[in-house]
Amino acid sequence: MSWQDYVDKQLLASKCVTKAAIVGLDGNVWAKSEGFELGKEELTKLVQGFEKQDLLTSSGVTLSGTRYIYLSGTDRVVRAKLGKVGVHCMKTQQAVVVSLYEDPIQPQQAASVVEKLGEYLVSCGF
Amino acid sequence: MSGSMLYGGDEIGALVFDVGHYSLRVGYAQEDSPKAEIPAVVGVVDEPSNSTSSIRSSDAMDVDEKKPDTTSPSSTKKYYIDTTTLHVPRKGMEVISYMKDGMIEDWDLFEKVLDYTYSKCIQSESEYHPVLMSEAPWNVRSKRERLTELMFEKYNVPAFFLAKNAVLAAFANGRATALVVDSGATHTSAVPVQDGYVLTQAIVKSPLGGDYISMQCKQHLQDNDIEIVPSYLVGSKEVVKEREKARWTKRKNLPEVTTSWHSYEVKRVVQDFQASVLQVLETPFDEKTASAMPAAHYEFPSGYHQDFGAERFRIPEALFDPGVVAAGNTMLGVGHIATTSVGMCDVDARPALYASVVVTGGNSFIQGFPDRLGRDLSARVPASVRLKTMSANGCAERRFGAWIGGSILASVGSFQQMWVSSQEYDEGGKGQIERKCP
Repeated sequence: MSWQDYVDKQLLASKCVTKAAIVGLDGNVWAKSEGFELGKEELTKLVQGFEKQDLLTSSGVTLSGTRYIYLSGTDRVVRAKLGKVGVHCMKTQQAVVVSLYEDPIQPQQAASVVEKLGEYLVSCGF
Repeated sequence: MSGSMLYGGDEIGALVFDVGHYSLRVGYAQEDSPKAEIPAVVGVVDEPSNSTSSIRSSDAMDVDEKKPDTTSPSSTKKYYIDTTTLHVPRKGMEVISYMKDGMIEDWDLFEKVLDYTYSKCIQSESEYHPVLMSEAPWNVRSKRERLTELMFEKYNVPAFFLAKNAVLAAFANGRATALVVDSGATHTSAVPVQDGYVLTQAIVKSPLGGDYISMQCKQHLQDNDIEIVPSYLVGSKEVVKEREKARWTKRKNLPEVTTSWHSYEVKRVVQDFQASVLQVLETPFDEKTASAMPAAHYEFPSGYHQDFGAERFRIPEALFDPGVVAAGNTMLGVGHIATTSVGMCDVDARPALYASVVVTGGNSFIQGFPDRLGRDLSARVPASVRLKTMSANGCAERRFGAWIGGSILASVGSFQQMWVSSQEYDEGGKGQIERKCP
């Protein structure tokens, strides 16, 4: 499966996320859904945020120019929210799966889908 | 993964458990107060018996069954749970708490309490009711997984959910975004909640809670030569004049009680004193203002009674300004805890947090607590920020704040798809809890 297939057929098709992207740890976008623009600086900051959560707590998570309030996370997962839109990201060995979800999708649904894909990628070595 | 839960409609029957240091609140969802409040301590009697009763029960079983019984350390433990059995003086009964630092520590005891809850308070089988349990916002992953495992494997609950008690307290006050200041028995914490999710990085907690105040009261009473006699000792007492030494006779035929149980009973007397007499001044403590306020009269179980004046303001001042009671104390006062917590949050989130400060927890009941907190915050916060504190006025509503929030949450229609069902647990294992209950 190509990376774009992963985004379309696994993430978007589940209807648990509204927008998704798979990006490398260097900030390069491997695949993304339509209309989901991500700046390289935004992504490098996000990747750094996995290691050092303090970067995200005070300044939030910025994606596509919108700044989301950082909720919680671990060294593999980052959760953020702003109003009706939420962000759930999972870091794998070489990439980050980034997803956006909106009401009425529950955070847990987006989380399950993103993390399932993330774990699968980790098991493949990605 | 779709919400195949058939728990919609009016018949939900979910149980809400609110686990705390002082007590375990349990009841049905959709109700406005818990059915039972069970103290978070259990009386344990270690009986070095000949296990005659246990052998009798295994008489009907195989001969092999008997062998483990006699070879194992022959002491059976008897557990005394809940106020009716706990407060009766018994020989050798130790009082043990199963909570530590806001999280469940002693799992065996907790299981015993849950068994008791199901059989006596709820009087129904655990497998018929989905369970919503509250947890501390700083609960660790291993404990959550262990709790999930316990509920699904032992109690076979059909569905389970773990909610942070700060979020529940916010819901109980009608807010999804709030700064929850929870002053409970063992600690006081400020937890910012954004849209129903806890900002874990910004949680601030301090060990100054109800228990600390009880200790201070006890110290004060001892310093003033007031003997604290728990009610179980008092056989009869006589009326004495104010401040006159109490005259009472000890009850006869008392069993030999353990020190832990005796201290527990003494603590209860102090807690009653604390609840009736203490008050917090609206302004920082000042000897003159305190003496000008009306005094409160209190009578102890031994019959001793007196008026308490300035000291009833000085003691709880420790919550807001720890330096007053023990000079050089570096712990944070409540106002400080709240501002530090908000300071650790995203700049955009701060105005929303200050606009809804929720005060909850049993210790916040001390008269004048919310007003003083409001005043302390407005002193520390820039004048342009809109500040609003809210605290439920009713007695039940503040003490059971998190429980009521749980009751509300479990009854909301859109929550029904958020439960972790036993099916999902079988498929995904206990790791599911981390995913579904962030």
